[in-house]
Amino acid sequence: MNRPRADLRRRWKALLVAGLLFVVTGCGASEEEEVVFVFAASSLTDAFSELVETYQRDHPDISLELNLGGSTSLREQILDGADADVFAAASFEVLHELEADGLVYESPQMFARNSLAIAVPSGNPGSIRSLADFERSELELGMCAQIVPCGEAAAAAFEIANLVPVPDTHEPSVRALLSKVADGELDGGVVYESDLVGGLASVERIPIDESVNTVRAYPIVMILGSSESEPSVNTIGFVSYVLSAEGQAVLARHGFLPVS
Amino acid sequence: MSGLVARIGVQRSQFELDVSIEIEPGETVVLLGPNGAGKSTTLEAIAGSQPLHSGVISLNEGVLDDPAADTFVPAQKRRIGVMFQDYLLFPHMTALDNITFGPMSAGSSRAVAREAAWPWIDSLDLTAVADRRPAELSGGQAQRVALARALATNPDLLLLDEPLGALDVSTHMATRRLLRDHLSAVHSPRLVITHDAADAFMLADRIVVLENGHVTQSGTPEEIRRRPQSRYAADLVGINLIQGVVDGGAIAVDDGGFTLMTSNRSASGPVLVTIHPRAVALHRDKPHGSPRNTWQATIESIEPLGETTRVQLGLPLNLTADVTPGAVEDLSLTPGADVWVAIKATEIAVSGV
Amino acid sequence: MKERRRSGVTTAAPWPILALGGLGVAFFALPLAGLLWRVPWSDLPRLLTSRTVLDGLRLSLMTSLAAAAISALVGIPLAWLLARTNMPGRTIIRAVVTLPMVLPPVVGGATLLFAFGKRGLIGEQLESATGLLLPFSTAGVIVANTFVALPFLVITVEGALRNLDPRYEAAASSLGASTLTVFRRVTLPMIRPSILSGVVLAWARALGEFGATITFAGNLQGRTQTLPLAVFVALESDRDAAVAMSLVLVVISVLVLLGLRDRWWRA
Repeated sequence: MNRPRADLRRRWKALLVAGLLFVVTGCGASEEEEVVFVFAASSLTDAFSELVETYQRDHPDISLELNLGGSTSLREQILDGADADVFAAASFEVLHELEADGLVYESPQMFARNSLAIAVPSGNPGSIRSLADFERSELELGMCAQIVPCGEAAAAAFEIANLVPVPDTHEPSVRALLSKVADGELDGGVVYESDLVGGLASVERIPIDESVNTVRAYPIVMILGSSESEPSVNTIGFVSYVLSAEGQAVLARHGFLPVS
Repeated sequence: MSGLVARIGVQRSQFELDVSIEIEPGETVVLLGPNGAGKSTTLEAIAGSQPLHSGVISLNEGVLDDPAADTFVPAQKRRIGVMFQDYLLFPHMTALDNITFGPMSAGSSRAVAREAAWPWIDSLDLTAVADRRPAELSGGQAQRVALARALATNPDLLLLDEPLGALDVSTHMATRRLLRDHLSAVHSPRLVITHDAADAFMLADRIVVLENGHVTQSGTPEEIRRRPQSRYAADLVGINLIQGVVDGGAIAVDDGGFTLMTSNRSASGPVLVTIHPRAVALHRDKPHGSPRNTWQATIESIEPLGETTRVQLGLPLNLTADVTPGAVEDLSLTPGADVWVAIKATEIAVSGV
Repeated sequence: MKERRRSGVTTAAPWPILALGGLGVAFFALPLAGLLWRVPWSDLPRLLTSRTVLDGLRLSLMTSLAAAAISALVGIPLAWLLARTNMPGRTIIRAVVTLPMVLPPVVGGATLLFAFGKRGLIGEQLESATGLLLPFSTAGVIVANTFVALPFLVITVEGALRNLDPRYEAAASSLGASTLTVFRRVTLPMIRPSILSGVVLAWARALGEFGATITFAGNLQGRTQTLPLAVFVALESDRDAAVAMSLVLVVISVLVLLGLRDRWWRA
């Protein structure tokens, strides 16, 4: 009676150790399966989810992992040694440090462009018509924080238009800003066109005059790991797909302007 | 009539309390009973933290609780001073602030309350410790502060819950005498609750014996002592208490005229010896064997007491012995006869004085 | 110190306990060491005197202290109600009050918006009655801080009330004190140590509060950007500044916790 139970216990222990080893060494399976880690800026959430999905439908043998976040925070993750193969950022400046550290393979390439628009709650309770309305202190107004690309772009737009906005909050992400507009807590917020596509039903779009609007270019780069001298075939394959006509069509559906 | 008139009925799932107590101004009544008899519930009912289910409580002709008439005066309006078991002095206040708490709650200014408190502080010998916190007081001082606090509101009734229970043996006896003197100076009716017979007999003008929720006897201490009407009361009044000096297990009693042996070898110095009446064995002939304490004595009186018979023994040591009626016959015990007395050393309990 | 000497640990700790306990210490000590290691010491004076840091520090201290004060004002009576009365639905009320302790703070902030937001349950009425619009205001930060801090105070004080011998309050009543006098002169002073630790816990929780604040009150320097918010923003732009501000938060918290521990925790 005693012996088999001891055996069983030993077997459990072996299993436990194996499990721990698996966790510690970090997904031993990935060596064979070759996962492509795709880092993409938050503003690309919907577009890249679809890109990854459609690409995987055509290449079922390739495994893609999507990691979304603010461009700067993704950059910090990469600098801190995160596994990244592709990085689709919201600005070229974000990449400078990576290039300086020699983590980038070849130069970054522009794969999409984006321009700004004003998001207002449905019905536009603050009667916002243009960027000039962001000088009205009686309204509750929001912008992205300067660290987020939409915040930087909005600040640039206000400067070009020679306006001094009086925002009530600098939201740390576009999503946070948009959800507060959608809830009606904010009367308006400056966001990217792409953020307004297929998004929230309770948000309306007010276009910004082209003369003051800023157009942002989105770069894509391949990241080299410490032991890599060039990117894997699958990494190159996915980047080419993003730049292809098919990939560009997906991006256009999500409110991004064509590359040229 | 003035004073307290209480007929207390409280029903609990396992317990029914039915007590009648009347106390005149200036009279001390002691409610005596074993643990679980209902003493605390009685006190709570009078103090106002336990509403009656039946009966009436009135104080100086004012009704405090009458469930039939839907009358209930809350505790803080009853003008009853309570001295609680282990006193419950407020630990964050000085002795003086404890004493002035009641008058100040009634609306007196601090100055007026202090003015009124000083006579109590003086008469209870608390002047030197008025600024101390309860943690810095001796047991006896704390008890007197508690008494002063209860009296400072000039209550119409004074309730004392086990007033001597929190004291160690050495202060117990001295404080008991003091407490009796202090109580006799109070004009309100006094109700003392205790399970200690010695305290009851010392303090009481009248004793009410409470057992299992019901009064089994009520009378002056002398009446109870002479005619205990229950096993509990008989046990209490029969306990033999002897003063002596112990050294190495030998107790010198009666200025060295008699010696008792106890199994307790650690005590030394003056002690109070207690011997239960049933531990005193009587024999026709000199007993052989283990008992260390044997001597011959003359029977002074024999009194039937329910299932037992109480035998009073004369010199050399006045003891009470409880024996079965059968033993009385077997030994043909009669007043004036001589018997052998035997007490095991283990039955002789000593406590420091 | 006296306490420690009296109970004196004289037995040698068995090695498994020592090892696991040491692991626990390392688990907390290493991140702290990591922070100290990353601090740009030479640049610190400049970083710490920047407008962002000074604004954030001022806001953090002001709002966390206000939140602790409001928590005490509302929390002590609430704890008393929970501990000393038989009001109906007490269990449910206690669950609701302690909910912010388990709720993700961001969710807490969202629920505050649903209630006090411009289009919230009573936001509009509140604004028309008092002219106060909580979201995106400093008052909103205090509300968010109080929301997460209050439960700590209520739980601490309710525990203390339950441990307090109710006979002391009965004794005060028998001396003719009204319920309010009993509460003020007997109950409160007797649970003073617990009230103080409750206030400190609430304050500490408010000082570190982030999620509910950014969700409910937004993020605007000088108005709603407390230090934790400033740290979060700086982590994405200026790591040195973020580290410097984290250091400020750590130093303030450690000083207060060290200063209070011996005096209050064991009382």
